[in-house]
Amino acid sequence: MLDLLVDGLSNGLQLSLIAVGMTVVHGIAGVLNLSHGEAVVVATVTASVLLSLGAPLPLALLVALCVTLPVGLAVWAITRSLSGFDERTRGVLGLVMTLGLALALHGSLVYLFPAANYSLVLGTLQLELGNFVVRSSSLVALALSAAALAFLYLVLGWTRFGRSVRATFQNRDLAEAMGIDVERIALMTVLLASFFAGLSGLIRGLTVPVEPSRGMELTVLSLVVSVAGGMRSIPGTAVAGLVLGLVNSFLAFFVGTYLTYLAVLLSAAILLRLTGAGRWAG
Amino acid sequence: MGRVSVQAAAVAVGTAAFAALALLTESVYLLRLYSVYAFHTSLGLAVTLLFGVAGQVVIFTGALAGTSAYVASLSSLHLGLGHAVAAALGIFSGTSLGTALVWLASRWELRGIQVGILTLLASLAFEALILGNRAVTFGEVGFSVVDPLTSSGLGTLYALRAYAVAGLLLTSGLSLALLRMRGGRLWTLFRAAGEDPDLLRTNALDPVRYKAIAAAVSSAIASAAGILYVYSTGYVSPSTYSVAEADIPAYLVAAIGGLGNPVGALLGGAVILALKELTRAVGPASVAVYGLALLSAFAIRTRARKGARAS
Amino acid sequence: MRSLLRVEGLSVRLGGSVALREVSLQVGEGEVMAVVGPNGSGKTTLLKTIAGLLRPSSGRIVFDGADVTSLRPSERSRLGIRLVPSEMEVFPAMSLLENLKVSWESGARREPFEEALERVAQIFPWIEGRLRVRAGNLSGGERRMLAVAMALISSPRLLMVDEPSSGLSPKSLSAVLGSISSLSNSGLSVLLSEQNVEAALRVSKRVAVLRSGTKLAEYEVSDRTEVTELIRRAIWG
Repeated sequence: MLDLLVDGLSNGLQLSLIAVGMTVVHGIAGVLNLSHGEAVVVATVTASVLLSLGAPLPLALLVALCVTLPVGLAVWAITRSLSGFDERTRGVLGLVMTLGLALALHGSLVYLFPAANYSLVLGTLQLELGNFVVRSSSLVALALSAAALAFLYLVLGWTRFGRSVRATFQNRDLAEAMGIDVERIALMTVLLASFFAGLSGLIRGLTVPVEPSRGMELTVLSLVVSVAGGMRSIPGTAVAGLVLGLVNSFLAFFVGTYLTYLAVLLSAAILLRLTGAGRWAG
Repeated sequence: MGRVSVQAAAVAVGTAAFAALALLTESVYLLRLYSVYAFHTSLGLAVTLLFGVAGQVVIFTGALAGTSAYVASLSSLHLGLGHAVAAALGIFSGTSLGTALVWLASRWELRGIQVGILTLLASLAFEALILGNRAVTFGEVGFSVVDPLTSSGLGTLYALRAYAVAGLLLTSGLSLALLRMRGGRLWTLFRAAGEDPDLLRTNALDPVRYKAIAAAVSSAIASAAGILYVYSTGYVSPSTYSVAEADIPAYLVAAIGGLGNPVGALLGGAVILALKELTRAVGPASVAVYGLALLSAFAIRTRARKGARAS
Repeated sequence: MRSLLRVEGLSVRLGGSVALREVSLQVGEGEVMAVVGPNGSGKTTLLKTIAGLLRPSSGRIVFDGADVTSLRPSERSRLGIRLVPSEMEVFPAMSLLENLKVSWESGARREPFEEALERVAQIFPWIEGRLRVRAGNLSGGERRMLAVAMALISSPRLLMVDEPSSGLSPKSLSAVLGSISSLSNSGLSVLLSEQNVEAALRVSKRVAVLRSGTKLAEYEVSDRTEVTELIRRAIWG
């Protein structure tokens, strides 16, 4: 049971890490980035390829994280090109264009590196805590995910940059009228979102292999979490990720994949209902 | 008014020309293209109405077409229902499901992409149910279906021709019907329900009601498209109705045609068809090419629109 | 009196129609000027355009001798132009303290935050006790006062307030107007837009009258009753 909890929390935190990026980019740049899941996979595929070529682990991971930045830049370029339009047009065009980007990335990765499954094995140590057995890799994944999310929380809540991001997220016009360089904030936000998405994928490899084709599935999951959490709430998104990650882990164990999937969908629908008339938080 | 009649005339002429082509050709491949076109364009029209006009972000036209297709096929196969009854049942199921979801979204006061997510969840659930729960599909996931024309003795080629023309009539007919509705009372009410619900309420009109009506019409279109596709291809399989295979192209069709423009959707369908066939020719990297084509096409379109607005 | 802000022949189109038509005015240093007019006369548009949130189709905006017409809002803000909007005027999910901090961080930063905060707290003493409160939980009047405080904490040179009286209780309104008065005495220029002519005349030295995007007249506020009547006649004929 404990290992389910650990895995569930870990899953949930990783999902939150990805989904928060999607929420913030949507709030600031007004675009729902359908290629967000691909940033995860770009990192994992890069790491996998480099590792298989014999590169040292730290280098492989570093390069993998760096590769998420050009993906972020592409997304940013798309949002920039849409800046003159009204909200609804921007929304639709943004969806279509980021979808194009997603398909381009997905198609290329799956075509060029079909077997680049990313997995990080740190030994098979197992810890015994009372009646429960937990894999050490799960604990490490949990710790790293929690640390990443905590770092994000600290940056957003306690730094000048973080305050500017939250201000722009909550009221872009006011932020700009106040002297915040919203264009620069938008760029930094998109880059950070891609970076943390990639980081999440690299952490995930500790517990479960990440295939190159997982991108679109992650995007959908991230989208569901983001919206279930209330699209105007950053902490809401994080909580939704946790809840859905836990539901997923527990149910998959007891009930099997398809029913779990349905249950996750149902939970998301319930969260959606609860956050429907969402209030601002961030 | 002149512009509308020019468009209507163009549609009529185009339909006649393509119908003639369908009746004359011997190419099964070409006739199948008609089915693909009819499917995507109809879904695109459904999206044009519900999203382009009533402003409801919905990601379920594929699932509705699929529900309709599966209900019709399964009830005909396992309950022995006649084709007409089965088809009616299918269309009824799809329409009810779509209307119920939009009504629910309104009741929950969901906005914008939240409606999209609710419908997306429903679509994903539909896929999961079909793929994962063989009890629902009696053990089959994808299976062959005998269509009414072939089972009444018509040869394959002739059946295909009939379905091709039926597809053309369906899409053109719907397009013209929607075109005629444009600017009319119901159209305005649909628009208001999406953009300015309070305006309706202050006039003692219920926006939820009109959203539901728009959803019903839209779902009926999607459901009918599903049935036609099943009969013309003779096969029903879940991947046809998935989000990636059906909903995304539906939005593309609507977007390319210019959201809210029923005649534009006809063009959008042709573009998507061309895109799909072209990228299929490229082979394994087709998805990547499809994506790049999409991205560039819309990047160019955005720049053109921006240019037009600046002046 | 030196003119701090000069608006020359400003025209703005909004959604296909003309919102402002060739409007010109001047605000001197340390002066409080009001722009009055009925709903839809273009007051908010004028202020937003000066702040840089809207782009004019023609005309010029000169601030402190420099042409700022093509500058972005953030650049204008750094020069000392600050707008307090009539709605969505705070960051709802942040505390009062954070709201003020963000505003100070992106301003001219002429003094340390603690001193700036104290300066502002003297004008709005109630803020000190509620620094941790979420801005979205404040009442309408408190939000408006917070917004003014946020503008002030950044040491602006030109403070623009869009409809200060809207949504405020008479007591809050007096507090806001009182603070505006005392601030202008210390050199701050103020441009406010108002539907409520009486409130506007309470603090302004000069008043411009707008209707349907056009400036009808401009008056020195010597005798309030007289000016009120002139304004009424200008607008309603």
